[in-house]
Amino acid sequence: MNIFKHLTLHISLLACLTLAPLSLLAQDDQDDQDTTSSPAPQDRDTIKHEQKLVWQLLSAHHDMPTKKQLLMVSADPAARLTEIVQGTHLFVLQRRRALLVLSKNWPNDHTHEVIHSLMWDSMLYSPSLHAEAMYALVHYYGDDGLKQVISYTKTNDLCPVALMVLKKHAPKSIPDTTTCR
Amino acid sequence: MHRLHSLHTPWLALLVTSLLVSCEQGGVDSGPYPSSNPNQPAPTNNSTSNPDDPIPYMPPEVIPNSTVGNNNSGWNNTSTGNNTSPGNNFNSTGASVGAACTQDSDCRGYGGCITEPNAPGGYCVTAMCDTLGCEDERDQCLVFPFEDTEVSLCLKGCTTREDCRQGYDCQSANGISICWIEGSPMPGNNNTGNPPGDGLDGSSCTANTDCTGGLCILDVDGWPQGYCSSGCQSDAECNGDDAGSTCTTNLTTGASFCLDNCHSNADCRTGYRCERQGTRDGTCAPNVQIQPGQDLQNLPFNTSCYTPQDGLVFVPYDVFQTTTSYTLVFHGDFSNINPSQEVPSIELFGIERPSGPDLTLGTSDLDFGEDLSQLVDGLPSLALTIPSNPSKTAQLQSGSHRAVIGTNAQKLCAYLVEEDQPGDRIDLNLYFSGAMGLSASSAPDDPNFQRVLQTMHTQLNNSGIQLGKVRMMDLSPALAQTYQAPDVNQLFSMAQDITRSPGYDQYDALSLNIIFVPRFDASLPFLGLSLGIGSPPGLHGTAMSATIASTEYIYQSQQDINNNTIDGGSYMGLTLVHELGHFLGLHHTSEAQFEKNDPLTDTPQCARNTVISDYKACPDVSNAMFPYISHPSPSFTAQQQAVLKASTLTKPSSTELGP
Repeated sequence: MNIFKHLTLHISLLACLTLAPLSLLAQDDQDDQDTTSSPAPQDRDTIKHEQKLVWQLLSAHHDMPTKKQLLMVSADPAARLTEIVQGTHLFVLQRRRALLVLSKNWPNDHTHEVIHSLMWDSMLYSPSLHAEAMYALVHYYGDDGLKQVISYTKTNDLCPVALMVLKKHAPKSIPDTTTCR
Repeated sequence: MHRLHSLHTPWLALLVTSLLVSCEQGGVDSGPYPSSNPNQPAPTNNSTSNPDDPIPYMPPEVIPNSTVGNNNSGWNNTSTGNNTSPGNNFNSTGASVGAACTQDSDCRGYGGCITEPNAPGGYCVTAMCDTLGCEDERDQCLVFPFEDTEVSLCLKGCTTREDCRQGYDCQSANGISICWIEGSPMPGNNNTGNPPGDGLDGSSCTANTDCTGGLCILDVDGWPQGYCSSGCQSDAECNGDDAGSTCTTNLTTGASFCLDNCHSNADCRTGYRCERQGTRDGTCAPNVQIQPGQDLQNLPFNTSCYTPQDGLVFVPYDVFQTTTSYTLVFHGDFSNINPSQEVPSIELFGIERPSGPDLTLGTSDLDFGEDLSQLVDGLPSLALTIPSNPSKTAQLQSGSHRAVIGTNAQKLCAYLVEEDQPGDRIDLNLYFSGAMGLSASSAPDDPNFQRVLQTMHTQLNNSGIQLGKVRMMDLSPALAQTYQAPDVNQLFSMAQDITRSPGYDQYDALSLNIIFVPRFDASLPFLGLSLGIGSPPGLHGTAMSATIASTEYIYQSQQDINNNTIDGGSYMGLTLVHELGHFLGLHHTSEAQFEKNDPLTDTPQCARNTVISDYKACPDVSNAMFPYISHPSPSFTAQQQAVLKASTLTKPSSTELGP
């Protein structure tokens, strides 16, 4: 048997088969990074329809949608994602994913406001999204975002989550003396 | 001769009954047997298992073969019709003591056969050894009280395990050693001469006499502080407490005995866990967790290890004639490589078969290239089930094979798991971190968690697969702390650190681990995930040995975008069915990240653009392996079901649930 006969094929075939956790990481980070959304006025039905399609994309077993995929189903994906993030009645898995996708692809002031609202707006307060919110600050908002998360270690409610996120994602930034009360 | 206190051993009653029938048919009086009196009814199991009928204890007695041995026995008398025999059935050509048998006539001398399921493969004994001795002086004569008389039987003597057949161990007690059923105490073991104790099934014990059922499974056999039981053929013969006990059969030994019923681990003694049966209550069994085998030779499979030559290993193996599917498992020792410069690699290049073309990584109708889910590199294990695809049954041949492996391991170990009928039951090992108050003790009564199991049960049952044993275990505080929010770098080490084979034999080892972590790291917004597609069955304590789930979602109940309520428990159940599908070898039916469909021919397929733009238009949207959580009651196609059932992680339920 020629054992190397199919090796090349084998590798090319298997290169696209990744384990579930790895498939998330394998998303195309550079996927249309320069694409900007320019929302056009939309009627209510169109918005509702787009929300459903975005929700569908947020309901994968293993993957989060790319910006390109979102733009295939919505003229204003950032707005649809924001609505889902702030839909406190919605299932937390899709809200978390919406927040992560929004932060990754639209890390602007608007998204920062969305993140801020999850922690400080009594109407939108969502402790189950705090870890994702802080993760987004650490990864997509540079030093300012990191400083904000560090500052959260001084607040009773946010300290445990902030420490957990910092230990995983910015361990060198944690002051030696920081512990939660 | 070794004289024993009575045991509630169904095999003894059956054997004596059988010999009596033989005797009566032969019309010859059988002196020492109870029904030598024709008016006395043949013994029944009920009569032997009634704890209200104390049987006078007779101290053990050994009659050395040297005194009542061969030269003074009837063994050299090959004539039939010896009027001291239990019948006219002296068999001069039958199998010797300890040999396999299916009926009394298979056995030599005045022989009888302890049949399945009481003795795996059957076990020849010879009667009347108290007067005739044993033919082979190495064998041992034991006298069993039976009803109001005694029965003497020769059992195979031994000095080491090698003297005994597969399924039997060389067991010693009171100065004698005999080949006896593995995992089942030998008759008379630890007999202290006391009358039967009042220990109900599941109580601690040190001797048979401590137990109402007359059977103590000893600490030394892996049952902490001993475990009172009763030989049985049905639950009615058990001696349980108010919760009762259940007659179960050890799948390895074939021995049947009673186990104490339980609702949760809290109902079992220290050292035991409640092995629930699917979504129902279960029985208390040892809380065994075998450390991951640094030495793979210790796995409960016939494992062979090889040193690669020029990066190649040739693994020979034989496939049995009745095998319907088998899985080849490879696991490497990669301590030779520098992880920062090289990653572990195991690649199955091909399989040479007894006849017909070799199986290769190609894409022909026979090859397994499209079906194999091995990663290109990076993981220390690899498994391939044959047939790799239900439409490729021609891959399956019996006889001598050879697998060709390329690897950078310094040692590669391999084992084969065969199935002679499709499996329809899967056992689960659940590990809890204690998050949300969910633990091994609380899970059986936790309504949210029960919805997880009930959903799995319902969805799998629709595809002809049942949940079997469901074992629940708590993580140590240290492990729970380490993996309170695992990130991608911790997933594999977590499976390695936490998962353990829940028992000593392959029936226990062939089970699926599910680890319930409090939550995933913020970078991993998953409900659950499987660490592989077609992961190695029976291999625990490795990077591919688990499916992982996030506990917190189980307790969520919110709406979807259409204002339908999503119940976290049910949602998790559906997710775990999907992940179980991956673990047992199923791919997604379609993909959104790339143009790829699974290799099965009966799964509907959906174009990538449709998956992305509106997956509700996909024909596979209601399939359990659709990449999105999209349907309240997803299903598996016939070929997907065949893959699940060909996986050696699913076991035939025609074999009873055993301890």
